[in-house]
Amino acid sequence: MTTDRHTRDQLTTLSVVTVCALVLGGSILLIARNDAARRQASELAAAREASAPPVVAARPRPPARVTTASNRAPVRGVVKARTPKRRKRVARRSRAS
Amino acid sequence: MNETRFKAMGTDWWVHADLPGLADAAPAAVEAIEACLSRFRPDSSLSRLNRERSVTDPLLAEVTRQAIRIAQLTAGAFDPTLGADLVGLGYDRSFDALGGSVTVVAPPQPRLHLALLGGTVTLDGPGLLDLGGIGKGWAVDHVLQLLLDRGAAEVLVDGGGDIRGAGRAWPVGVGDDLIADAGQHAVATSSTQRRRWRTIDGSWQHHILDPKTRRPASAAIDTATVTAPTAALADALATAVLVDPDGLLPRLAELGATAAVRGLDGQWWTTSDWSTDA
Repeated sequence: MTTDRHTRDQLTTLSVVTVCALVLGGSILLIARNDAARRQASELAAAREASAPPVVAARPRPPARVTTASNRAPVRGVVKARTPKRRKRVARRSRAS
Repeated sequence: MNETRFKAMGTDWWVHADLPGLADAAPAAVEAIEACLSRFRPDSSLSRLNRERSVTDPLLAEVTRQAIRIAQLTAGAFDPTLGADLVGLGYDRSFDALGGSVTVVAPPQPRLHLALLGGTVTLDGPGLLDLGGIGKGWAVDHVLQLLLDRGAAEVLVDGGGDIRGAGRAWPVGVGDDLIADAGQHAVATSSTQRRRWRTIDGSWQHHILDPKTRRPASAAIDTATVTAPTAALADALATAVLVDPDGLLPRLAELGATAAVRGLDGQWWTTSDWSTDA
């Protein structure tokens, strides 16, 4: 009776150890395959990059400044009006009459 | 009361003086000037001059003298001898009385020459003297000096948008957002968008004539505001700038003046020395 129980305990321990070993082994295999695939992919990318033509002027140039009639002074001797930094209360308004 | 409002010279006036009651002297002073300089009053000195070709009137002579000086300073862009052309284009009565369509009758005329001897003005040649481009500004200067002479320390005179002050800073609005200090310089505005009328053929005219063509000036700007040492100069220069902006705007600093102008697209431009911190 005692021997049966001892044997059963040993068998249980053995099965647990076996399952753990299988899981560990499987994981190691999976990681190894992933590593190999990644290395292969990076080698492939490096090879493709090496064979690709160099990239020239990839950075886009800024768009040309938009020039409209309103950006150009309508007459000589003037610059675009600069409005005051602070709003000021005015006593009167000059106007054509 | 420290201020008074009245109508004269075909526009609204507003005068402020820091001494109570002093501003009340302004309407009579402006009325006296209008009685002398108006070309719409048959009995004015100017109308008599245009009829009789020679008149002695010190006030008329003084304003005419200033008009001739400004005509020389602006190389003729300001020209007070185009009265006959304005009449020919239909502007032959005060603008309030100018209603409906008018007929263009007068062809361009040869030059009118002016002679000044003391207080006597003499016209030589065909044409009419017109002091409309300087008279209102001159009246603003006159009223300001009158009130200062009578003891006022702070004065602001607004004759239909021609403005000059004294005694302190007087911020004045120009265009949409600009400001000028009428306490330092006189400020005046002219526009081809005001005082317009339609002739019998349906075309629109305005009162600012180009002396070269003797027709309404056509420029890339429609409004000009000028700051200058006197309102008479600012008034005349605002007109002259609309006639010859390319010739005058680069030269305004020589005359002690600055300008803000509005392009036909509504944008405002200024001479580089226009103060934004008035």
